[in-house]
Amino acid sequence: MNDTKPLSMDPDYLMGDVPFGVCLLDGDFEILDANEKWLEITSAAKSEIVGKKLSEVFPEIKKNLSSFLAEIAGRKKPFHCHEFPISFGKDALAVVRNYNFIYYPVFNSKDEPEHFCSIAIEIPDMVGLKDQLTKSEERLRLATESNNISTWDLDLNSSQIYHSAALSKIFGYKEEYLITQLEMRNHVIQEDKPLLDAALVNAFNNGIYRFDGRIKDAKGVIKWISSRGKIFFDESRKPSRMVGVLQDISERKNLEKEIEDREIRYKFLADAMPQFIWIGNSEGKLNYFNQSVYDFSGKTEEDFLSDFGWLQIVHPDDRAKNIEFWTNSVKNKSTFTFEHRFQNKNGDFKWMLSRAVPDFDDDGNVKHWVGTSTDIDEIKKQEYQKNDFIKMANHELKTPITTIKGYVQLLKKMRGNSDDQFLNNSLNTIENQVNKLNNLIGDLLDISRMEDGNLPLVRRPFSLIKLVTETIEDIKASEDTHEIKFILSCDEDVEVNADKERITQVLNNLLTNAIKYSPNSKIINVELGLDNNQVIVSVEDFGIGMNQEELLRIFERFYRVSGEDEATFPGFGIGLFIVNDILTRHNGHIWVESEKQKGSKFYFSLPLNKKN
Amino acid sequence: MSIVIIDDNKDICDLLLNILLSEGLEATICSNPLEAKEIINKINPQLIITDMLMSGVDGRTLAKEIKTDPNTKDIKIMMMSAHPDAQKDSENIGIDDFLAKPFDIDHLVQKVQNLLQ
Repeated sequence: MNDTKPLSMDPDYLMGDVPFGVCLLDGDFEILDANEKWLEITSAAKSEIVGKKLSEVFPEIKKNLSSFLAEIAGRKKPFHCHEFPISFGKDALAVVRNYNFIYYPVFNSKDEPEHFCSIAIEIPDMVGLKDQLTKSEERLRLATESNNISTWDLDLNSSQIYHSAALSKIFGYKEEYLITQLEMRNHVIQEDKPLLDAALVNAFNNGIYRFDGRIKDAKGVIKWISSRGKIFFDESRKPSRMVGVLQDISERKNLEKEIEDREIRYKFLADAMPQFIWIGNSEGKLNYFNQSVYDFSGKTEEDFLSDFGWLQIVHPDDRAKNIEFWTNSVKNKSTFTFEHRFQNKNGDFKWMLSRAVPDFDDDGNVKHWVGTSTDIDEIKKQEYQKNDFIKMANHELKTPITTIKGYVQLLKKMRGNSDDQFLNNSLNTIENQVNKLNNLIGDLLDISRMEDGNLPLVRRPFSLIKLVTETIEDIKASEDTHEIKFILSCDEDVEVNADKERITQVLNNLLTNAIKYSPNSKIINVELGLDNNQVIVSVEDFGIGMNQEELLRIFERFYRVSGEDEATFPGFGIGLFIVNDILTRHNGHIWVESEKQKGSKFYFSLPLNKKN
Repeated sequence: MSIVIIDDNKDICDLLLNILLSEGLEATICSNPLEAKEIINKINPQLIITDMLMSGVDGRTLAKEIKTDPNTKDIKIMMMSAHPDAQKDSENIGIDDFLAKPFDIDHLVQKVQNLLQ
């Protein structure tokens, strides 16, 4: 023994070290002696209680004392007082502990109890534990019942099964009915019996039982059940017990079925659409195409689901840009829009408009991309026809203009020195008006080209100062109503790399607008200056001006500013729309400052040509 | 110093002729493009000014034939047209210059003189 403490038969020693309280009392229940454990119960020192009556220490026993004595005297047996509660500490901090008290009487020759030995044994909080156990059992029962879960315990030797009441209910019986293993098996529907047998074989092999299948319960209702269990082995490694849970999962299965049905419906919907529908993962890899895609292309799912497999139906000329646009959209999580040609199963290419939007989760990450491709081949054809028509119309209209303009210029050249002022003026007017007509036809062509985004630019370096000077001179030659002042606020020449004709068109437009919208003023100021690597040209008039709403709309197509009293100014309302487009395509800008009845000042900027 | 002007619009032919005459240049007009080849072979001009979109004959086809025929390949050709895509469409057929309609007569004269040098 490790305990080195010597054992002693000394009664003090025995009383002092035992794990329970011991107290000696005389026949009148007066305390003679008590050990430490017993004193702990009274929370008093030995000197305080020795000589006192037991009822003084525990007043609550006073009333029972006589019956207590009578019993001991009569039966001559120890008296047991069970689960006697004793408080420790005070008030809120008080702790109640339960004690079993045993009173051993010692009788004298007259058979009267002469001494008592009181033994106090603290008992754990059985009541509390019992209470907790009941509560947790209740919780488990509620939890399992509400989820249609039952528990079972199968003795593999006797085939005896113990199960919770919920199991009987799942099988359609009353709670108190005890169902046997065989009955359970008989409830499994015929088609799923092989699954059950396989599950059992599996369980005996690897110790884990797992069965999902259908039963027809006692009331004839088909239910889905899911049973999970574990095999326990005895000392000889023989399977002896299988314990597990069985759950009614009909609700879940029905839900799954509903989801499946819904998926089929959506798939049908997607497949029935003439539009192409496709889905990509967050990295932009496409993993679903509707039936229309396969019907159109004659390709299979395998062809398409490999990396960029769909690209094989895209026209070779459109592929590089297609990849670039798609990669960009995926990287920036931005909407994808692209027009490209897809090859059908006959080998013909059709124009398609593809669009895809990212579907975000709560954290702003892309869950997947949903895309559509719409056949726009007919629209494209019509667009082509329309453009072709406009170009031909342009050609046809310009042919007579060529003749008129040519003859007027020829006449001016041949009769220019004539003194006939009427002839000279007439020829000038005809030439100006023919040029205007030519410009208007040009504008109509430009707007149709801008809609398709293919207004051609022929860039080469030229002096902008020279261009501004020449344009002002040309305007002066045809419009003598206004005085155009040119203020040059830089010392050096200003060279830009741009389409000279288009920039002339911009300035022409601003100047003719300035003249048109300032019928009551005579001055127009043109200024050219530098700012960083930009050249800024402004055209200022002192005419009708614009209010805030008009300012917001002047770069819109077909918008025209009205004067006072609904007086309108002629024009197509496309000049500034074209000007804005031309400047944007040159990486330049246009902006305007204006005040109603005071005038407007239009500015445009162009990047300077970087000289090598 | 002979020039052939080909355009199915006779007014344009006449206009060009008058402009060139006013500059002291000689020219032959051809307003039926189907006869163009015949006239060219007969005159063997130094310069041909031809319209592009003509009824019956495309100026580009005509230009290509002239430029590939060893007998006529050295004749300068100036294409003219009012079609917006004409300049771009006639880029690679070997013509010597292009004139957009309508034109300034000074511009036309300058181009002709350059080609005749």
